[in-house]
Amino acid sequence: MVKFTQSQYLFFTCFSHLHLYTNAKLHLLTCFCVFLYTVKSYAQSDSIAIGRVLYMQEVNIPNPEILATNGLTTLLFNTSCSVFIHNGVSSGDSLIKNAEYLFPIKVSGDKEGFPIYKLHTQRTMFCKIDCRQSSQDCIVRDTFGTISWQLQPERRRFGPYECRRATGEFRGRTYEAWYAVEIPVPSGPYKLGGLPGLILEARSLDDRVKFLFAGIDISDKIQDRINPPRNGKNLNMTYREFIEGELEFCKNFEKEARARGSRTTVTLTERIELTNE
Amino acid sequence: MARVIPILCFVILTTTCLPSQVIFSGHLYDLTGNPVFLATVIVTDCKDNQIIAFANSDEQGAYRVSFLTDCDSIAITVRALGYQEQVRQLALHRDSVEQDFRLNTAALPEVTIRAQLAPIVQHRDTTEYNVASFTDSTEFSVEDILKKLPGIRVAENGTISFNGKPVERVLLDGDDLTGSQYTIVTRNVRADMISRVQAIERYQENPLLSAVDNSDRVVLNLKIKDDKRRQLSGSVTCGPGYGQEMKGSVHTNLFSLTERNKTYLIGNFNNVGENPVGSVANFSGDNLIRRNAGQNLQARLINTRSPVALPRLSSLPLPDAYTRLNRTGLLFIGQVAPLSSFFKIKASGWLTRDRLEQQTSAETTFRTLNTSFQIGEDQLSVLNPRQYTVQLESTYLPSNQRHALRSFARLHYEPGHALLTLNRSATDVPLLQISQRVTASPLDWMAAAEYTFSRTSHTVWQITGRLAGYHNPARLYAQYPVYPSFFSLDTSFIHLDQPVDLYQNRGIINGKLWSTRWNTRWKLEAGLDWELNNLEAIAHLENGLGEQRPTGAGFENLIRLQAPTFYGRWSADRSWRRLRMFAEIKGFCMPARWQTASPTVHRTTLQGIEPLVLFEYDFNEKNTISTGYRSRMERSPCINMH
Repeated sequence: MVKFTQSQYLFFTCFSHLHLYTNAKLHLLTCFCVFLYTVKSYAQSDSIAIGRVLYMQEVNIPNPEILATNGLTTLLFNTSCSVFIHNGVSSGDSLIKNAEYLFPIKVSGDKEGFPIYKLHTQRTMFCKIDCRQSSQDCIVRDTFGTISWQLQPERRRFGPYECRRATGEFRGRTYEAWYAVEIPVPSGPYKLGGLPGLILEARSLDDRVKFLFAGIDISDKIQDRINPPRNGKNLNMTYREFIEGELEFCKNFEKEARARGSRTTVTLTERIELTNE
Repeated sequence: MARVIPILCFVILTTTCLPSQVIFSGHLYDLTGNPVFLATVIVTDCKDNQIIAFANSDEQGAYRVSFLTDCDSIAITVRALGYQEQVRQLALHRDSVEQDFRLNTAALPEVTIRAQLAPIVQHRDTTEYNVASFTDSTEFSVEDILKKLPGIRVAENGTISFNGKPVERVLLDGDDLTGSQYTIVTRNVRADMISRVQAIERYQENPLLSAVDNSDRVVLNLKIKDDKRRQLSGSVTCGPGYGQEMKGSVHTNLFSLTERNKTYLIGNFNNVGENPVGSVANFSGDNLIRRNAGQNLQARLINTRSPVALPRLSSLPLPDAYTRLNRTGLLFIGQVAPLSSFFKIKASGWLTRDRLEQQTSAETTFRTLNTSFQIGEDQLSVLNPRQYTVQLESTYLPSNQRHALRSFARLHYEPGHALLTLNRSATDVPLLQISQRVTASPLDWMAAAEYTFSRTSHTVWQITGRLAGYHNPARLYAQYPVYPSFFSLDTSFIHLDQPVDLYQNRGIINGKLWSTRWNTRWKLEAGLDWELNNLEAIAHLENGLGEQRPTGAGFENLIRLQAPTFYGRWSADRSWRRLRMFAEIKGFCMPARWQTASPTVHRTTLQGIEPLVLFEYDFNEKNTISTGYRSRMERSPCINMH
């Protein structure tokens, strides 16, 4: 007997009555069912974590918003999902002085810590990002586990775990990751993952991006919940569409500024991901 | 045929030496037959145990892994959280192999590892110390930790400095509950509650001003350990002992730190010489006179110095615990309650009661060839200072960070009395007895409110209102046999009674505008600052029969002063790399009025312009050279009565 999950059952039930509706209503119902399925799959049950990895994020990029996320980060995980949280992010927006800029820079804060929520089986992740297209932070859908890792022979020990090395290219940067096969969870810091073990430390080969191992807890007694990002605008876009939307927003801003007589050029500052493929 | 044989050999050799494609598939089940989801299947080769392929099982427990290998056998390892690992060595006879696994359940291995974090991390204006790198578990309070951190100095009275700059506040998890009396936190919060210490330079309480106002304030922020953030955590420590009398010490930290509210309870009761409060209060860091202290809503408006002060105990080259008897109690309660995401209230209060007793004896002998002369002094000092403080702070900061409304109120009552008796004896000289009793009951209060509006990110407006009051009725009652001859009175008039009443009131209302344009920070300020001071002090002598005699007009004081000041100030601040230029012009008009014992009211109007130009060059973080010019108008002694 094939066992349906709750969301699949809903979809199946809706489909069994489709023949009673006109085309327009059929389209509407299909959208509704797809929407419900998407909501259900996105709002995966708030799971309890069985492990927690602490990383010290050190990103050396001239982008004040990225620099503000540096510091301690946490990855909560279980077998089916995980969430990466920036603990060092302030809960509210703040203005900072920067010697490189004439005017102060607004740096966004987030109570949830700009989480990156990963669903291991669906190979999907939902990332909360500060964006210009919306007054709220944006929740963007991305694919997970698509890095083509080359498994290397080097080994290194992190506590009781003997980790192996892998290298792979992700959106313009080549990363080196140390993963523990004894922890069979295909996740890691930031958007990295897809290895046959949990990534305990990762860094880019240009040394600009580092996630240094700071600690790990694995226990049944961890009561932390793996929550998807909540307070933000779900753009229902892929990362590529999101970046294109940001560029479009900046171009429109430039045009409006020039129409008002101001010679303005807007460029997006460098991010951890250099490309959007 | 001769051509065919080499071709055949070539084909045979290449096909046997090329690695062959192998596909492994199968299902993973647990012992009850249910599929195991998201298990990892790893294939390692025969040479150096290198992973050559891996895959995860799906919801049906099915897995499929394909790889290229020239080995005759491989090892396949199956791992899943909550299950025992299984390894199988398999010979490769076919291109496609089906292998099912049945996994035994296993308890999740409990692991806790903490890596060695960098002891000190510099992040913009914040220097963060990882406490675990500097402590050795002998520390009891936060002050013991701070003494071990490089760059941080703790003075005997509890005053803290960071890289030579005085620390103004000590925050607990980002919240200030004690103001300048931060020794309540540093001397009483247990060391094992704290994971990190942050020294924050250029501290700005109001986030709207962080980009336009150059603050030079330094604060420390204590980060509480994650495992202490619970509904209830803390410690109670107590210990008895016996010295000259029964000794005891009770020390308590009780914290309730939830996502919504934070409650702190700190208590310290001891008679073993511990001073849980120190004497940091009233130090200059809290003074409004310092540049940039105007943004500190808790800054004191009034310099509270009483003409009649409680005497201090002798400071001998030994720790206080060896030179004085004490009975000290401190109880502190603090509550941080965010009522919504943009409105927060902080309330705190503390009371301290102390009884300090010190007895000193000194004997000096002068010897000549034939005689000797001895002088002896015995002094007993008993002090009973008390302190009651309540303060309330609220912050309204909406998410758009265009407006901010902050308010602060404090009530501080510090009654105390002191008794000092001195017996002086000398060879062939009658015993001289001197006693002094001082009582003081200073009450000071203040209230402040500030509204800030950020029109754009580089233009900020602010309106501030502050009000403070200080009332200190004090009394000095002394007995000294020399008084009659000094005041030309009968020898029975040896008691001096000097009541003093000091009343001060000050208020400030001002508006400020900050702007950053052309690489320069501009500031414009205008307002009204008024003072109302009243001092009454009289002195008379008494004999044992209740009769009184005045000491004379020279020993009586009556001063009333009203001094409103209308002022305006403009300043510009610009930096070129290491060089900084600051220019300011202040104009004021002060129509002052004062009155002494005579009924005549004196009036005067002070007005003027006070320019200031300052140049600073920073060689490095520790060395700065500055030069400048300042013109300041001389105020009359009466204006500077305090």
